[in-house]
Amino acid sequence: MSKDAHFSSEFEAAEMHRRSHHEQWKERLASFALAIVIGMGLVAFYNWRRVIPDQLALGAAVQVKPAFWNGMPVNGRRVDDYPEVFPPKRYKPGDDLWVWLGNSQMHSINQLQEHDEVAVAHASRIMNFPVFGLSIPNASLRENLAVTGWAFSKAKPQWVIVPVVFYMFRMYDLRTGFHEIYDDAAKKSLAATSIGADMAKEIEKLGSEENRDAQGTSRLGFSLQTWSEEKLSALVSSHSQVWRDRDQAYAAVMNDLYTSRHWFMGIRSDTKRPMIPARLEANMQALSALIDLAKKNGARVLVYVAPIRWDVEPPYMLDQYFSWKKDLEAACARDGASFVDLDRLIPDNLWGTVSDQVDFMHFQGKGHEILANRVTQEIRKIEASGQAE
Amino acid sequence: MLFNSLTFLIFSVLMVPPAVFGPAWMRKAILFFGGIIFYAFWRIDFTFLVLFTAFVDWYGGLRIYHAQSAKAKKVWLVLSLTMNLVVLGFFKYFYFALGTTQSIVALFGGTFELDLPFKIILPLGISFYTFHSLSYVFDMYRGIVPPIKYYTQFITYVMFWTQLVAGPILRAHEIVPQLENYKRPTKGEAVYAIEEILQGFFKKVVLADQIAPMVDAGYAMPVDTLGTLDVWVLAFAFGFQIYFDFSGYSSIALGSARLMGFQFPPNFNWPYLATSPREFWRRWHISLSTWIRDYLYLPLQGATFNKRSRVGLADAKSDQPETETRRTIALFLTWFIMGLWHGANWTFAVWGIWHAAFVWLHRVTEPIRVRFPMMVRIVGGFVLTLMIEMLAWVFFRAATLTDAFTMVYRALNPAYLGVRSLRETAYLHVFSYMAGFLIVAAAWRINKMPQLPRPVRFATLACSHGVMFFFVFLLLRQAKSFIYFQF
Repeated sequence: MSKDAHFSSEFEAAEMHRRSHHEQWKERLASFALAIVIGMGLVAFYNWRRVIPDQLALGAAVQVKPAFWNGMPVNGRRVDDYPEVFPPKRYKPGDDLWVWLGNSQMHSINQLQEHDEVAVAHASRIMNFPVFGLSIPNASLRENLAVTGWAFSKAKPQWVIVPVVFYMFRMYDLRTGFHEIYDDAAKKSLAATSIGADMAKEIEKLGSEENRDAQGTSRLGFSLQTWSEEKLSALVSSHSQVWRDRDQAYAAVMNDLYTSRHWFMGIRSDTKRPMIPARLEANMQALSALIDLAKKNGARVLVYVAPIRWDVEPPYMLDQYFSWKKDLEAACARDGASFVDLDRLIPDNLWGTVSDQVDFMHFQGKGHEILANRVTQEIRKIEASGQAE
Repeated sequence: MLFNSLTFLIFSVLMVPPAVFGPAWMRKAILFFGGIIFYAFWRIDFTFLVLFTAFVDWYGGLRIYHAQSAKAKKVWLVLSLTMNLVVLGFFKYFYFALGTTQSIVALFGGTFELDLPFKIILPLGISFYTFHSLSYVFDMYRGIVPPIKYYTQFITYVMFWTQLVAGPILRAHEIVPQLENYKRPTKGEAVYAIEEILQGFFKKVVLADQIAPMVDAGYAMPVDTLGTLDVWVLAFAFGFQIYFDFSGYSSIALGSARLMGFQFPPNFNWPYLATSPREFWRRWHISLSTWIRDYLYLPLQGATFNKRSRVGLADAKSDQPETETRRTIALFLTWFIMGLWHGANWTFAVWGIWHAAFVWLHRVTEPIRVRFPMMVRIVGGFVLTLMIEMLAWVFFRAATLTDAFTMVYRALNPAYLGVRSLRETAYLHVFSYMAGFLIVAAAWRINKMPQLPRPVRFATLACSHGVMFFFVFLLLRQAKSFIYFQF
């Protein structure tokens, strides 16, 4: 054998030779056939054990509740869905409209009853115009800023309501859905602030391939490959339910892995998570930019500390939490937003559990009504007093 | 065409059986047109560029072979080399050169603008197919390979679809004889090939693509917020991503070729188990390392080749006294070029120099190292090499040189040990990948042991391949291309 072929591959070459010629190929084929059976068995198992993605994130006790006012939807809970529901139908510039941001607290209800509504539905009924919920599960303030930038490119709400959760300040990433919904108008809207301008560039890079290659090599754009993949995928999906529902099976697998990890590491819903200073700082800056953006668009901002459960100790480092609330209040005063602390608003009996553990985030239907009443009262009070003009 | 796609699976099903079982003319036609079709699935227009450059090299090779004088040979070599470098330079390095020029002009207070009426698109795999075809011209010039008579056969070699866009970088002598004296794969080879393809898919779509979002998010963080541990975690994370991405591609390439009866040399050999920087490059992207060694490094340091050799400078002999200075200059220059080969950015050049520096350091510290016990050298070498190689990936992945240097500085400065910017899950993921890698490496070695009972090996293979099949089935998606496609 030549020296070249020997170059650091003797071992592999010998192994290949052994595998190819000296081992019983029938045994290897049988082993591979068994592997296919095992693989397909796992596929069938997880296809049967399907989960509802929202249930996966929230647990069986908490359910997502779409909100309607006058027969039209008044909330979106996934970035990709926003363009379908916002701005609300029949909306014209100048119409009354509030936007209510937030995380899954805004679109889900613990122990959902038949006539329960989420806060934005109550608020819309109280105000008699759309109070529109644009929430995202586990949204950071950076993502709230991105949503606000997008929303102002589509409509001119008079108020932006921003619930803040301490845990949200541990998040940083922007999800790829923003890349899909961000058109030029949205980028221009977001870029009105300095942080927003950087974020607009970040969103531009969010496409799965674009951030890999500055010159566009790996960006397929239109190609025979993209065309054939679409056709083939559609063809296989139309003939195979198992292939079509791979996302469901994948969600179930991830759920099992996630649960196993939590079990192995001893992570529970009440496990205390420390704050990450750099992320806290980035989200505080995003909040300031959000307020600035709203003001530039002639809107007012109400920032409130979102309700959490207090009958058990919250999963926060409490000294960090109280210090953060003070900083938040000071930042709102500095930037010209209204601030109210509602973290103890919801009574203890209106909370529940999530996946058999204490749920600190999602309360029952009555809690949403209390929240809507309180927030609308706050805004009316502010408007009456002329505060935050 | 991307390997990790339904299109490629269908393409393989249509191409492989007739190529293996059909008559010779059919096999030749399939291999010739298959490469062109494979490339055209990315861009039809750029297929003509590959055909053109390959034609020039094929024709140049013939003229070199038939040239009566050394001068004429040299003229044709220079013509071919110039054409390749001009094409590569224009498509791959134009913007880089422009940006560098602008930066230099700006240093002197001036401005330099150039608005092109078109956008230059980097042709898929240009660095790879250029190297394929250049190696043939070099070997023709050295007179160590016979000429390829037919253009169609040369195209079959250059555009062989399993190695067209991301290697392994094959020489003519590694593939042309196999085309001429075709041997069908044995049943054992065929089964092994299918296993290899499955392993490649698993490495790409399950391991590389699943860690990619974490890497992208981590590198999107402002670098001045990252702590020591953060940088190490990101360095390791990208190190695993690129390894699984590229070695996954190579496994699919080698397996696909083997399924048709063609044996390619392996491109990876557990690189992260290397115990020295030099050994790392004998285990990572082996076909590139050998190419660079034979056509760049050895000539730069003044080596000559054995005229009777069929494998180029692998049989190198040095007929002039080699000075350590020349050897060192050759080392650094080679790595500088190798860095730029990977990407048109100064970050890649520094990445190359980084490797040169550590290979050189390893060489000059040999008298000291030999004093240590063997076990210390192996374990210490493994740990140090792993850290050096992983940290080098920061230059490869960071957006700018400033970002890369800031990250490396923070990685090595204990003052940033208390700073943390990533969530706990990032640390956990990287730890899991590292632990998983070592466990699999150990299991792989144990599973090879002849004394291991056959039922144990049988069950291990069946279960591991079963799990791989399951995850590949769930995660095989359109789109995500291989990182090395951009080179």
